[in-house]
Amino acid sequence: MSAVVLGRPRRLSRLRTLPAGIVIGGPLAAFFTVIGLIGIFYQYLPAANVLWSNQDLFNVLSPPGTPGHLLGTDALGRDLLARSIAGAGISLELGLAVTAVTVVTGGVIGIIAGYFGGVADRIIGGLIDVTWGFPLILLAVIMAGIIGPGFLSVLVAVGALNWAGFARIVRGYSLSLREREFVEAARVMQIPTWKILLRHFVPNLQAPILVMASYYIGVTIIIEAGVSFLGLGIQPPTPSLGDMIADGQNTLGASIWPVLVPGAMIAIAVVGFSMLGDGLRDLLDPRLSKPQI
Amino acid sequence: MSGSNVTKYVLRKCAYTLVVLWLASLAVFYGLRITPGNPANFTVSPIMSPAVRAQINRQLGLDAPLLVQYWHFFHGILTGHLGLSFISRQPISQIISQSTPHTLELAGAALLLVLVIGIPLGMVSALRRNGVVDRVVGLLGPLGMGIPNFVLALLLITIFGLDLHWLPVAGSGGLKYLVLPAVVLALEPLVVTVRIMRASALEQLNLDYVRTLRAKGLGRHRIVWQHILRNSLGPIISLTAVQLRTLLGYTLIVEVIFRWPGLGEALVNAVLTRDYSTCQVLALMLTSAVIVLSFLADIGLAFTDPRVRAKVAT
Repeated sequence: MSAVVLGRPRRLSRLRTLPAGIVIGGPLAAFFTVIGLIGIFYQYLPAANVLWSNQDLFNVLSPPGTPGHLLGTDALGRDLLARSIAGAGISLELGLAVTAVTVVTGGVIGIIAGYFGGVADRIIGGLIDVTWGFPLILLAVIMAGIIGPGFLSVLVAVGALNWAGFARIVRGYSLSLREREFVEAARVMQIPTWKILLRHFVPNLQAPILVMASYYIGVTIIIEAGVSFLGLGIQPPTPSLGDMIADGQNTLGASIWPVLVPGAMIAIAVVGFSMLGDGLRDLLDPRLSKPQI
Repeated sequence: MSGSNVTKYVLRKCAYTLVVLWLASLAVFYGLRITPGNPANFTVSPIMSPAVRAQINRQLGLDAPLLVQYWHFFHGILTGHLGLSFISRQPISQIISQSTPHTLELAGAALLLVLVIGIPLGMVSALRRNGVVDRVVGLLGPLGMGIPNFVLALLLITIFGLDLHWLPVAGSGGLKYLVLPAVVLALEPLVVTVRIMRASALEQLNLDYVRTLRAKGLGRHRIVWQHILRNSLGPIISLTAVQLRTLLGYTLIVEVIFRWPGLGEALVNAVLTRDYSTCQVLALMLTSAVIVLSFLADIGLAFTDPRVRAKVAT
């Protein structure tokens, strides 16, 4: 009983010492994730398609609060809330998919460069130099020109650049891990290299994985929205936040809500994941740096 | 450190950059050709007879072996004969000469805003840490990064263009047209610049020379704006090349929104209309600009940061 009473203030004080990024960004990111998960259901359940594709032509461009349309409707009378939720689903899907791919490829490549060094490191270092810092949106547009507009070209573009940012950091980590005593001990004990990397390197990469993954989910969401806004990303009728905003641009003089609602959804995601990344970085490893888009 | 080592470093970076530029030309050229879908399919209706299609392929030079086509492309870039747009039949060199000044104007204006506002703002928030300016900047920073620039653009268009009728919302010509796109383009690099400038100035404030200057009786104004400012500008100089790279990427979106007739808009249009020939030249041109900017950033860093210079020299 007393333990419970004593336990509470301690937990509260721990909350107060958490970095601001986690306290503010965490809930925002969690909120977006929940919305996005609902959105994925919206998209794949045939029964739910009606929610975001149904046109209520008696209520075109209606403001928030219209009965039946909590956040209003677009120029075709489609529900903005339902469409934003479905769009968030696509964003989350892409964000998670690309980030998973980049973390794995970037991680493997970074470990190889850092652990083995030599020629491998020099080749990988050159590749990282070329790709790192290339404007994502430019590559995404070029990719849309090469592969054709769609989910895949955004995925390839973001993946092709973000692996480098991650590999750069993992390489740095691996360089210092290689010299640590426990790795040396494992080597002396003739433990196979793959086992050393799996048992001793991967668990020690938790900090950069968490921090960078959080940043990259935000980056991917904003890039997907930007490319879709240009008409080169996710193609209609699949609802995407960027495409919704492009549609809203045409009726900007009549109503700003078709731009504002999906725009706010993107802002929540980007601010949320970016601040969460900042918070995790402050908590786990302040040396990590934020990627530039 | 010796000068020859720095020269060697610059030369090595130069050679490396040239190789990367050449690889980029290969990637852009073959990338557009590996994928299924022939340019002729986009210019000719699919119901046209194969003979017509073959003739168009011949006219566009698409029937030659890939290596020969690449040679024409590469040779054309070196000699300035860029060919015609597949779709509009306009010379590509004309498209470039018409749109480049617009992009330079927009990016230049945005960069000017970033530096002229960012440096003093970062300085002031460092001097009055946790003061009003610092707090406002700290609060607005994440928001400025979080709002996608196309949403911000549309909000500004609504407020200043459609509601207040203060500024034109699209097109180019004169300063009035430049304001909104430049502000939108500048916002994110501005936030970054303020942050870096603040950190850099804070680092300087605690150094011994500041105390010495103060003990010497030098006025606060001169200490801050002459000595501290100059010493904290180092990171900003190399950052600027990086920022230009970011700006270049964002011009794609901002130019499309504001119907700004620059390179970004031309590239997006070329992709949307499947204009292969224009697309490959513009893509290579913007890619090269990014690669050259990266090169300048590396060199700039080596010249302004003594720590990097020392590492280069060894």
